[in-house]
Amino acid sequence: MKSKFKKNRVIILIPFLGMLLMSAGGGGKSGGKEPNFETPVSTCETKIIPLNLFYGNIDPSAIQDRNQAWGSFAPVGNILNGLQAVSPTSLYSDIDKSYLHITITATNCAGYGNGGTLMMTWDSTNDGNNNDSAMNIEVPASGSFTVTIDLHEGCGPWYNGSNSYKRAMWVNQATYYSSSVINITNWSLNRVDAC
Amino acid sequence: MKKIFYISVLSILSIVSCSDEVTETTDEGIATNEVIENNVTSIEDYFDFLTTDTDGTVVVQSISTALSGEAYKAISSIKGDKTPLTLKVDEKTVSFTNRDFSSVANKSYSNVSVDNLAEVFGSTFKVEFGDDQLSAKSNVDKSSDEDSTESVYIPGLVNAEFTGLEDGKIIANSLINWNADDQNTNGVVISIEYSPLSQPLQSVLTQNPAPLMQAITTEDDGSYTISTKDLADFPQNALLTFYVARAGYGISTNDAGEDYSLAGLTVNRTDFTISK
Repeated sequence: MKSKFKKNRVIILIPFLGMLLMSAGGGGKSGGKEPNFETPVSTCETKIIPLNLFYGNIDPSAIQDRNQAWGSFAPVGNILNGLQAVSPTSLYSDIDKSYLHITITATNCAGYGNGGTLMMTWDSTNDGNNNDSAMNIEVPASGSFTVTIDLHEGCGPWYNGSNSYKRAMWVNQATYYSSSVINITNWSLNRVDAC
Repeated sequence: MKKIFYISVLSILSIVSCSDEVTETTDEGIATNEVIENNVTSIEDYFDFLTTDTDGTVVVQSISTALSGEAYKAISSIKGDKTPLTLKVDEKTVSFTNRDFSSVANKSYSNVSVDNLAEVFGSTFKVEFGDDQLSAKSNVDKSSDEDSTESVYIPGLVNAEFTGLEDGKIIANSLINWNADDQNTNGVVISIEYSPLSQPLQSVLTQNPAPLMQAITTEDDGSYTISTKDLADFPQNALLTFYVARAGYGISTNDAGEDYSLAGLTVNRTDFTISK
């Protein structure tokens, strides 16, 4: 016997997903692959929007577990206070500088980035202002996308609780619908690396 | 035995995206529509599933890391150029103060960070719409036929730990443990991601300049053993990001035939180097 969903009811989608996730047997997942969504819904339009790293007068020194002794910025030019306009190109290339990279994923956006993923390093010059903590990023004009920002501070005694040289790394990740600006208001400490 | 299945997000969306379209089910609630198999390649795919095209949607998401607590964000959308829905969870109200209108989608969107929205997770809600507000009321009377039919369960916040490491590295047979949620019938998605920009070793980046992702879906039973196959395509000594996520989702339809949905997504992130 079959029934039909009716109006004025909450339709519980869990059984759908649950069935799909659980019903088939198997012990592993297919091999890794480059991000690729095989059936994009449409040609994807993009737009340029600002990304503000420390929005709402957030004090960079207030991000979790940062060494308060250093105040709101490290004693060298730094992304954290807008004095480092461009990130090193890799995590290992200039370990005394902060390193920041951004990954934007929109798997349902045809032609976006590399198979739906766009990656870039910090470049605050691309919005015409070299001395702020903002830059422009390209995102889908509509639909959802996820922005992941990995911020590695330069090697130094900046990490709270230790005067030894370490490299703390904070993240911010969220999924957005169509948005005209990304304002970051909180950072989560993800790991502390030796250096 | 772990059960794995690949889902087609788009196909599912087409099944459930509009309640005006009658979807036939069996008594067990099994959709009879054909589903085309595909891969969930990332958490983003999982999120796409949650963002079904409705007249109004509120999604609450939270991400935690090994060294940090939950960071909450809420997203609201509504059809047309107007203020997105407010979310009321029991006595707590989340207002969406910013707003973007997309002429392409003919929808208005808003996203806000919230200090704490833990009450959304690990509870069953009855979802109602009215006064430009999506209301989620807990304390559902499960003995009531109406409430049990109209309720949605948002899984508890997920916290993951990794054991069986070798010199701090993930290896085959390393174990992912998380707080199992026996009320979550959606399963858990484990996403493993390689980003060339995250690599501390130049040799890894040079030889592997393209990003790589894969996702594993498994029962919400609290553990998963990483297999040789799971790691096979990732570079040796690569630094990978492991996401453990679960979600819940429900749609309410009003007398006018408009669909309104509430979804919750909880994600835990940890980074590890792998050795294989």
